[in-house]
Amino acid sequence: MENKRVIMKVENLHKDFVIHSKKLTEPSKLLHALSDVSFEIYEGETLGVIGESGCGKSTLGRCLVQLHKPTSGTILYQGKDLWSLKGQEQKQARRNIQMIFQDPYSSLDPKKTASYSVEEAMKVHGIGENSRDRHQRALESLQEVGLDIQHMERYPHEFSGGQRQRVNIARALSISPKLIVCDEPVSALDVSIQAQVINLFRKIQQERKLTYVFISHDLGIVKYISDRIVIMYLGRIVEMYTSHGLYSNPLHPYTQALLSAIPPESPFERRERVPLEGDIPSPIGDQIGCPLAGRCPKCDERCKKETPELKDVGDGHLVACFRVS
Amino acid sequence: MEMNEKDIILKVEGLKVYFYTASGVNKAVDGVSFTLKKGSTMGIVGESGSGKSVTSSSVMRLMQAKSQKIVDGSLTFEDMDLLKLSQKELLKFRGDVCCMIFQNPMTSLDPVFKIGYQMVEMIREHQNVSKKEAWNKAVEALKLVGIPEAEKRMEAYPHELSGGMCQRVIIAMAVCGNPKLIIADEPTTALDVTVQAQVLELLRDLQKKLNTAILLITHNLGVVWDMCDTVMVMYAGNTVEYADTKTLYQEPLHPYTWGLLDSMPKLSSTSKEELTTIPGVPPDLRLTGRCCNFYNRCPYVTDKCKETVPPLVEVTPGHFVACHRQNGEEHLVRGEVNSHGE
Amino acid sequence: MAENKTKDVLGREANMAMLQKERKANNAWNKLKRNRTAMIGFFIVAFMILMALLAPMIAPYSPNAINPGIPFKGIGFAGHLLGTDDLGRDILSRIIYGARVSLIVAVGATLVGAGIGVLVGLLAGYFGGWLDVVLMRIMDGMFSFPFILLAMILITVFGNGVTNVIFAIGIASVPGFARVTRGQVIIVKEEEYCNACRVVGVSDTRLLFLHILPNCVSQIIVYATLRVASAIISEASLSFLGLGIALPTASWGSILRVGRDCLTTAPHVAGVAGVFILVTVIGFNLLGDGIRDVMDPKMKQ
Repeated sequence: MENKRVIMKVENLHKDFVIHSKKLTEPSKLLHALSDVSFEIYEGETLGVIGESGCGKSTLGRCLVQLHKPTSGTILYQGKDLWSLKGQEQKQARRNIQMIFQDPYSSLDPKKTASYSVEEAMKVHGIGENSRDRHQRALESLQEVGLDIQHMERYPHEFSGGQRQRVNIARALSISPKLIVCDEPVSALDVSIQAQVINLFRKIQQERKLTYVFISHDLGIVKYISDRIVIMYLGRIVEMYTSHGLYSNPLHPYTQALLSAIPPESPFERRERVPLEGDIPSPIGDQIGCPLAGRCPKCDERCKKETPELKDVGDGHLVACFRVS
Repeated sequence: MEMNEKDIILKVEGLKVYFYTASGVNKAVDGVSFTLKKGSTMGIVGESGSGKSVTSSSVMRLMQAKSQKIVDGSLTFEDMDLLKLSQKELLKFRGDVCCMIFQNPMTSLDPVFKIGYQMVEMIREHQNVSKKEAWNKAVEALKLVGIPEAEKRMEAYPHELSGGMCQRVIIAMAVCGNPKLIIADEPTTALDVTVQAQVLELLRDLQKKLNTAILLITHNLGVVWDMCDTVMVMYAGNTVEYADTKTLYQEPLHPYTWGLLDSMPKLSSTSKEELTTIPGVPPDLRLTGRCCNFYNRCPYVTDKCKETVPPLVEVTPGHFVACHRQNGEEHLVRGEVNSHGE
Repeated sequence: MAENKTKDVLGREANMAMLQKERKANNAWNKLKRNRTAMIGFFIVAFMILMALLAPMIAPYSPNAINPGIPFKGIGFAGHLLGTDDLGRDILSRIIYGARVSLIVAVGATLVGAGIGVLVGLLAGYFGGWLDVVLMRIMDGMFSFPFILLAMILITVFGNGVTNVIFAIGIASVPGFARVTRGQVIIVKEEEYCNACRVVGVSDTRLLFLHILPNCVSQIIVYATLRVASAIISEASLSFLGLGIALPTASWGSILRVGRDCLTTAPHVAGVAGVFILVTVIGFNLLGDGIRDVMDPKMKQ
């Protein structure tokens, strides 16, 4: 990637949720959804974010589009703190950072037609001179994602899953954003439809020079579409590298376990499973030591007491593990 | 690869299950046939609308709606005709001889009762044992599925357990009665990758120990390669291909199977080429049933495909295909669209 | 493309046709038609409304026409199908004209209650925080206040008369609407499409009135239908106590009032009014349940 301009920078992001206890005598607890997350996003790239439940990837995505306010830390867009922007600058930032959600059905208002949903986005940002102009542009947006005029006046429940997701994409594209956060955009779709929608994502990225943050638990798809990948576990980044590099040389024990747990690609393949004992620990309450301590086959005393930082072990390959030098 | 009659535990022939709705007849399952050997695992692969879930719940004669009816076909378990069972016999069949594991473990357990209570209740329903014996059996089952501190877990509520744990509890409940057949409907789809690997490994171990047959429904071909001896591919309510797993991987015959295999991005590949896709979407099940249901997405379509329903034909021993152009008279080459058709 | 001999059964035209067919089969009216008890409710309500609308044309006498020569005549008396009351007025005519008053009061009160209650519920549910606490505590206060007492105070201060009765019953309906609306808003505002709208940049006002409100409307309509039924009873109770529609105006409640005094000697006066109230209330309840089933998106097949 020659053009390495940073479009978004996340610095020491923390996000906690308060869990009110059911008993009057117990104090409320904190759920640490994100802990000390820092990374950069380069213009035009696709940054994949992989993790299992509770890793905070969805929370991270929602923080980037300002659906959640961080507890501490900053998110810089084009060098400016997102939450300090006001007025016109804030509106512009809103327009430039969009999101595609996981469930294509619930992300559309069931009482509004496809063209309404797309036109509304344009109306909010003052695109198009009048309603006829917006109607025409909405049609163009829908055509860009592979739908057509007969789909304009349909309601969400009259579409298939893949088509609904296309409507969501059309809505995001109609206001010409620069960065799109995709939160598991194809997980709810059938396999053969996933491929269609992934191809669509790539096509519009090339045509419009978009930047993606692609969140998913499906390692095959993330590897295919991403330039760099971030692996998250229990609210922290544990490893970050190019997608090819990560798969050929995973260094963090969690990454290794994750890759070994993927079902095989053929009946003849037998993978060596790297076992992880037990279950994912709870993100509620104090988090001491490495998040993987207790499950990791390489865990030692230091891992239980101190939290490892992300360190560059060469060529931009970042790992947060004491046992990897 | 002949199947000995005595080895077959479940035989389904020409199963048709329809939903009668106000806007038409939804032919969810429209002619499905397969056989399952004792102690083996068969995968049913398909996308949404393929009819795989309806097929599997029909084996237990579980109907989801009043409008759902088994219209045709035969379901034979060992020598029993499942369609002729009385309500009483059916209740005994379910849970005792044949168990089902569903997709969402969190909602499969009753949230207001403790795990132990639910297990004991289930065991006593099917076996004539005292509460204490049922309790011990339940603890044994929990240990068998690898739940740590089994006795303590009996006192837990479902919401206190993670998804993977819940699924293990459900598997424990399923194997309590030593069933001959377990139907698992997407048992790991709602679980994380690492947990999925654990649960599948558990199912494999249990199968070896108990010699249970497993009917595994999934949309993930990787799970099929990992777990299944035979596999049936379903599309729009039909069986389109049925073979043993290795054969399906090496020599698939149906164009839909080709499309499915090609559209999955492989971890081992480094290509950034566009993914191969099957153009179009699965058909509306109220319109299907008059011809090949795949014709409008098939690159090898001919006129005959639009006119008659392709029968399921055994092309080589143990390998069945439902395709007009692959049933022996003709032979398609994967990747080459012949100029034979229009 | 001259392939008209082989039909394209899964093609675009077929899918469009199926879409039209599905839209038609699942539109509100057809869905309602499939529910037998709802249709019973619908016909009862339709009958009562028609009766009220066509009153001048179908009532045999003027409702206030006194005929002191034939008081308390029973059902089936010559020329008076449902008998006469204490002043010889034809009960059938009074019932028919009474339907007008009772229905106007019931529907009017429900509209008043909905108009205010829904707005309160929207604001409380969407913004939460102290606004929610304050508004809902006021609603709780109104809830706990006995309705009859509230109506008595309002009528005493503002007097009898159809408009005042409408407002009295309407005010008493406000907390119910507020609660139902608030409950729905709280559910709907967490839906993903509200998040999607926020990310797109939709303002709070637009989101609340153009997205959240329309998705709450079905529950509100169901509640409103059931509320009309109870408003009919409220009007009857108030008039029965002398606090509602004053005589000689005919309303089902005022007929009951007359009937109370002659319950033993001429039970048909109260009886007939009572039966009409009962049937209409059942009708609205059945219709309301039917509408709920129609609006519930999960009941599709």
